[in-house]
Amino acid sequence: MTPPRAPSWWRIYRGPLVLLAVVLVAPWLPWGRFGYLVPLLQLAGIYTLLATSLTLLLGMAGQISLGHAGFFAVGAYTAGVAATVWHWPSGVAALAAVLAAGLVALLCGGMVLRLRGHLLALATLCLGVILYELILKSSLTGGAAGLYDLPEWRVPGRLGAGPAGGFYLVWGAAWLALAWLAHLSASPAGRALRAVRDDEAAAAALGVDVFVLKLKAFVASAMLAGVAGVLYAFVHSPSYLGPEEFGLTTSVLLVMMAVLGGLNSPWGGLVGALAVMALREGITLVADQCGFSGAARIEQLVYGLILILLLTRAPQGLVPLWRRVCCRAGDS
Amino acid sequence: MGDARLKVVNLQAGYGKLQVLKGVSCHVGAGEVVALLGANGAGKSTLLRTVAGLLPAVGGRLFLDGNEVTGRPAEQLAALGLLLVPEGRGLFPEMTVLDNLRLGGHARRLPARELAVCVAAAAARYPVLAGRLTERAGNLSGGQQQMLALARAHVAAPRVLVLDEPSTGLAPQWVHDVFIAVREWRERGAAVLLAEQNMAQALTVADRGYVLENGQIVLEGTAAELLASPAVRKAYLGGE
Repeated sequence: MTPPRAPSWWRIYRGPLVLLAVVLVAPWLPWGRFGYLVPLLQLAGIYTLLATSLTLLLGMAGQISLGHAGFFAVGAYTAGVAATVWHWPSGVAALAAVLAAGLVALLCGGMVLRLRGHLLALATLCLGVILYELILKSSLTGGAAGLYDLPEWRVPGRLGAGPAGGFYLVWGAAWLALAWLAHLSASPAGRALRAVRDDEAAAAALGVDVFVLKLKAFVASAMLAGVAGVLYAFVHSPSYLGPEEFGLTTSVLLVMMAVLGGLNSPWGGLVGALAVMALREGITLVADQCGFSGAARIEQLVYGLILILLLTRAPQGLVPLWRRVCCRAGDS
Repeated sequence: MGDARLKVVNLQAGYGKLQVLKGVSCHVGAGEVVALLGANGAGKSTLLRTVAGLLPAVGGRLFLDGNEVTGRPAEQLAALGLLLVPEGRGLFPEMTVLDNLRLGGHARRLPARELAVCVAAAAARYPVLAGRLTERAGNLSGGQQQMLALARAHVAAPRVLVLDEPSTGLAPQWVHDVFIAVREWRERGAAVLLAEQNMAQALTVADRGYVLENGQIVLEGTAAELLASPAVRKAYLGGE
């Protein structure tokens, strides 16, 4: 009997390699009059990072967070305040921002992760709302007026001037996060996390330190959201940082993306974020072409209906749906 | 008594205000199978869950290899070589058979290569699993799931194995396999604590047994003594 082999190198890492190639090529495609989509893809990269942080927490560890926009905000605002108010170098500010997001998660996680199910959902929701309100009411963050003239990060050299200048930074980070998650998913720690998701008591009986593992996943997830916040502040929107992006709507949208993409695959966050962004843009585009522009309510209605349809037809998410379709195509 | 691998002294535990265990003492030696008998609701599962650290003890003490481990959480007890196969088997239904087996080695912190060897050995011992390694554990039949739980214990290679009603709800041929596995564990020198409602079956493999009633041990003795005891025969074996 040959021992069952560990998943081969290629099976774990082919996804990240293909994605890397796509990311490298994407800004140089002949976009033509669709050139406006490149900055949008950059935003999609930030959302990919955020949705992926939830794929880790909700998909692998089975712990819901309805307040993840809060960690996104902690990352963005710590970076913004440190750079513009305290005049720290932007690299130091960014590092502080990611650590701050992790620290908030560590302190809050110790409290809320003892809760389960609905209670955890409500506790994290409150956490998100509190963080949002703190930013809105604080004088340090500029409140509703926001912060202006943040340092702008671009890829160094000639490349930085082109459309790829910010794109590469955002997608580079998203790629690292996805590759790390694919690696984690196939590792003993990933197995232990999924065991915690399936049955905490059974995992503990096998020697898994359930609480510590949940806390680690929570902190790692918050730090990923913090990285997304830094990228939002320094790359995507350096001229102005306001609180609008960091409310409850965003938290819910992130859960939506993670679930829609599929919680059982490390790629769920990527697929979900791209699908939601593409859907939103696609509907706007079609509405424009049909002369419906301005009828924003109809767009929202169609958007919502399609999302409901997708979730009912593919409750496991788009990644498994894609695999099913591929299998069927392969059989015939 | 001093060399008992698992020793429970005057253990009390329960859920909230409900006290289920009212001072239970028992012990299991190395290479010994001890049956824990009793009707539904007698407190068998509560005792096993408390022994495994999943339920806090309200009073009493717990020893592994003579060292006190009272109050240690489940993951620490697992690291010391105690494994509970809970009622309902404690599998991870959404994960593959292979990943379930690998998780058996979690507490041992084996390097990947050694873990693969242990998993292969377990799959060879339980051939019903060998062709199903990539299937979801939840897709297996009840008997196959119980074999998976036993195979996972094989990977874990515990020094103290605690089995909670491993034969409940299984077809007869699977029950037979379960008790063969229990005998193997004894031969390997593990201490086995086996909770069973099926007394006649349990006492054919066990060396000794305890009868639990209302959270208290009411009877203890060798398997032969218990089988011969009129009280046991009347209450549990349906004989005269």
